[in-house]
Amino acid sequence: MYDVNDTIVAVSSASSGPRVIVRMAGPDTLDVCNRIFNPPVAAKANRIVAGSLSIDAELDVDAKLYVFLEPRSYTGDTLAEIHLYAPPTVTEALVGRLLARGVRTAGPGEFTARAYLNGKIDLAQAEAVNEIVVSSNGYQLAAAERLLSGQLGHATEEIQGAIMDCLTLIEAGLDFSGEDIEFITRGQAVERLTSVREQLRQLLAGSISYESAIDLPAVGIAGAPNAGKSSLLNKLLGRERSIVSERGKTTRDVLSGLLTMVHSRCVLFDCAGLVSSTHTILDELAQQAAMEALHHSSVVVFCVDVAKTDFAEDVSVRQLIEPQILLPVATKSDLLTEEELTHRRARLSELFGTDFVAASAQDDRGVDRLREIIDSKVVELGVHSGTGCSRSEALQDSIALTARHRQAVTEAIESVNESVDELKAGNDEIAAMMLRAAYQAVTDIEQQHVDEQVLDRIFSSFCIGK
Amino acid sequence: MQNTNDTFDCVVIGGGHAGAEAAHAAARIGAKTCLITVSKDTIGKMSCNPAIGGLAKGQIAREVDALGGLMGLAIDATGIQFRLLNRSKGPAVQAPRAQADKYKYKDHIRGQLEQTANLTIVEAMVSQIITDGGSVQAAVCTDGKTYRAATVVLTTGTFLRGLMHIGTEQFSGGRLDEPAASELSASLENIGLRLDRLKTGTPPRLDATTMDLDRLEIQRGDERPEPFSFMNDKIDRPQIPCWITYTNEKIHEIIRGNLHRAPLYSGQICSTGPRYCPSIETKIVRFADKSRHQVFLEPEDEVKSTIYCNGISTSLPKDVQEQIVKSLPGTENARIIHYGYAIEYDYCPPTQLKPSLETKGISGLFLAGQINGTSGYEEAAGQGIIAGINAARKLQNKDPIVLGRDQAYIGVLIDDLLTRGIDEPYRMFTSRAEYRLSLRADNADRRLTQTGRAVGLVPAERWTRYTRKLKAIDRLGRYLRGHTSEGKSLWDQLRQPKNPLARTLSENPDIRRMGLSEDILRAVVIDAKYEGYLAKQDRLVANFRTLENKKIPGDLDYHSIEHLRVEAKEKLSAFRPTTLAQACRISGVTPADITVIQVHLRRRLSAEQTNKANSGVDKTTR
Repeated sequence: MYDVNDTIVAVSSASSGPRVIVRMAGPDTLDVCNRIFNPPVAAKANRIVAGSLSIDAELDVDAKLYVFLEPRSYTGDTLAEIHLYAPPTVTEALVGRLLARGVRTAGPGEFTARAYLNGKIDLAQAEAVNEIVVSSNGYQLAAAERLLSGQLGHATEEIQGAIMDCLTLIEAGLDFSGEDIEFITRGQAVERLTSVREQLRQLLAGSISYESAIDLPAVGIAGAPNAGKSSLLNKLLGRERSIVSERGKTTRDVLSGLLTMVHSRCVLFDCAGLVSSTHTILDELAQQAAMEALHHSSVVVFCVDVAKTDFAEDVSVRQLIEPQILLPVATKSDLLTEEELTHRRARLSELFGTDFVAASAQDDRGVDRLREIIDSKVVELGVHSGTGCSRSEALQDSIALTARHRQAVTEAIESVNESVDELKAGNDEIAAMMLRAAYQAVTDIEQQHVDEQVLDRIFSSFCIGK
Repeated sequence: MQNTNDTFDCVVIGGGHAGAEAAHAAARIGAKTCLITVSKDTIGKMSCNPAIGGLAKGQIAREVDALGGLMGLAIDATGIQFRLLNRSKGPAVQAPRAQADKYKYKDHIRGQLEQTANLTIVEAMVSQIITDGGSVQAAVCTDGKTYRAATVVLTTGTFLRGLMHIGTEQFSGGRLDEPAASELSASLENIGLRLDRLKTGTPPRLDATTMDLDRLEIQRGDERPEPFSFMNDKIDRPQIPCWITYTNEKIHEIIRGNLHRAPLYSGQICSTGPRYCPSIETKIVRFADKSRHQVFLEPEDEVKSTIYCNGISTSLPKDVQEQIVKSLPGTENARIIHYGYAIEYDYCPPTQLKPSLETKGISGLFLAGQINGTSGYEEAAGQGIIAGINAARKLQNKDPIVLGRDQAYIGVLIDDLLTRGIDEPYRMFTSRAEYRLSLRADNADRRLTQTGRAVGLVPAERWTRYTRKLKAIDRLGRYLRGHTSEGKSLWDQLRQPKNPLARTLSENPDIRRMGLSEDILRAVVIDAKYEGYLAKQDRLVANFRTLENKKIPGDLDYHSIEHLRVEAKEKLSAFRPTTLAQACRISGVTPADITVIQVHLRRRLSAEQTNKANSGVDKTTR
């Protein structure tokens, strides 16, 4: 049996390229990191930090540090991953420094064993992790995924608390108005909520996109709503066998996955949200997030539902994508006869000035072919992701949020706004509902037993009852 | 069975607010019903606060009325002070409250029951429930008589093994000067029900003629009292004020000096009481920095013979209660008629119930009111009427009536009891209702009259009145949607916050010609105001209930789940949660355990799907 109370380290290198990942877990992790990595990282929140790693007195190299604090880590104890580009001699020197500081070399599968022993995953998941993540060396994606798990919750803990406080006071005013207590005036509530809104805005402003936190070449899937993007994404990824789907809650919002092909590997993103016109602030944000995802994409799989007849919306979406990276796909081709399909594809070629690959997520048509094309395009790009720290400023102490997470934060801002308006109009009961919506937006589903929490808080804070 | 004195369709045990509604409903629906109560004189008795309604409770009282129950009409006929609470807040959280002449109130309820066809009232104390083959058969009384019935509704209030406390004195009793039901608990345990203990308490009652109320702050009722019952347009009864006084440091000192004699702090009482209705000693211990606590002095009858001291519920010794009253401004010379007391009683943890309020284990046995761990007359009445309806329907072989959480506070109440269980006497709050904007006091009639009619509790007169109201609302709504001013329909204008149209609607000549009552105008204004928010509410609730909606199959064998911790296996096997959300709430079950169950359920599901697919039953189509 492994000791679970000390700090362990393991090194893995990507199958291609010089990227190395040094992974540590245990109580001394952060101390040790802070001795060799600059800038130092506080035990505040899970983070990605770009900085420099001191290998010995003379050699510093650029590296990215992923920090996961206990218990919000894969293993349940404090965990860090140092991602760097270095030859084996440098890696050896680095590990030597770590061992000298009392860190122990991990046994095979020991990280996963810790995760299991700490109740973070069950045995089935542990097996899946070893099989998929470890063997494919998709460490970085896995790290980013884990960073996301609970990250929004963590980043917003304080905000959640502030919303909950305010909600409690408003609810107390509704359910206990007969008491000899003024819980909160409308003016005070408005003031508190204004500050909550400010915090949410800062969270949004200070975050970077999840997509940019990953070094692998990005392949976006774009298209008008209902063009069959998600189905295609899942098909390409072979979702059923993926760790991503096994850990349902963790990754429920991450519309992306690691695609391993014959010659290369990339991250697939769903650039959902590209619409020709935006109506609400949410549409707009979704649009923004999608544009950002597009911007990070090296290749864009452009999906058009070939079974429909009006392509106006597709044309306007097409205009948002740079021509040189476009990979056009005619989706849902199983819905047409061969004859119709040929005819329709000709029309698409004419309309968009390029040939479409016919595909269907239903009968798997064209999926293998698409994978081959993506593979060759990614290979053409070369190892363009060689400079892992090029965006070091953007990464510095940033919180990485997915498009969905950013959407959640915007939703929360919206709801807080509405709540303020309703308070001003004297509709406390509606203001309370909006606050619940805000709370829900920034909280994990499993922590959402708001009603009981509200009552518990009221009873513990105020002398209620005649 | 020997000594069978009579055979009924339904026997209701207990004549409190739950029992009265249950007996009335069952009899009205057509079941030959027998109400067994220790004394006819205590039917409908207000054992504690002499008031009906209040926040969230007022909504329940209206729901009981809409279903065709007794409570609303009774309080309208006997109320002495009516107030609409939360008037400054939105209609969804406004609620009627009225103080009753508690003597007239109980007489009114008794009178109604005595006039109810199919209903026999018997004075006796039940000691035993007889079952056979998992079905209820009869109730046996301490006088040796047996009442047979296929359905029994148990509404025992605080009487099951009731143990009362006043200071260090402890004595058996169900209420002041009334005997406890000491044998019935054992019988219930024998037939397989699990019992536990709860505690509640009540303040001292004072002789009004010995008090100096004139110098105290006054709280009056509303100028235009709003009736509880849909059947009444207005209240003509005289309104009597309440008085407000405050405790002071001297009283707090007295209490602190006597805490060792307080059953709540000496260890004499160990069961849990309600957090929302703490005793004065609890308030002083828990909120030590508060220099005074409000006390409402509420008359218990029209002629102001006795006063209820709302705010100083206590089980301190008699001499301490006397010192408190002596130091309370306005009551210095008051004579205590009844001392405050605490009472511990058996209840039946409500996770043993079906949504119909029938017990899971014993067919035909229904429970309602405090026996299910609730507190409050309205909560009791709401369960009582449902238990009565469902007992009667069972006899007719009809499906039980189960109100949804989006349909009624009664639905929220019963669902909470069944799925969450309780750890203190359960009281309704508006914040418990996720569909709060829909569950309003003003639309209880529109939510439930139809149901009441369907089960046979709404008489023709009420139904006619109701359909007339619906037509009027519809007519006004159509007018408002069809007429525009400044490019906007009147309806859409009403939807805007603070639109002045809401107040001036009755001045519109077209509308005036329709001759609609104020009631109709208000209903429509409120409908318009909330319309836009209801969609948001529904969306929010749908998101919220993700885990709630993840059902755990009833046959799940936790012991067969690999990797589940032993503690979790035991807890989950004992509680048998029906949803993952419930499983989360069980203490000792960790998020990791939930993951294990989720993985197990997912595997099970995909295994089932594979089986199905293999047998060719299920063909997936796009």
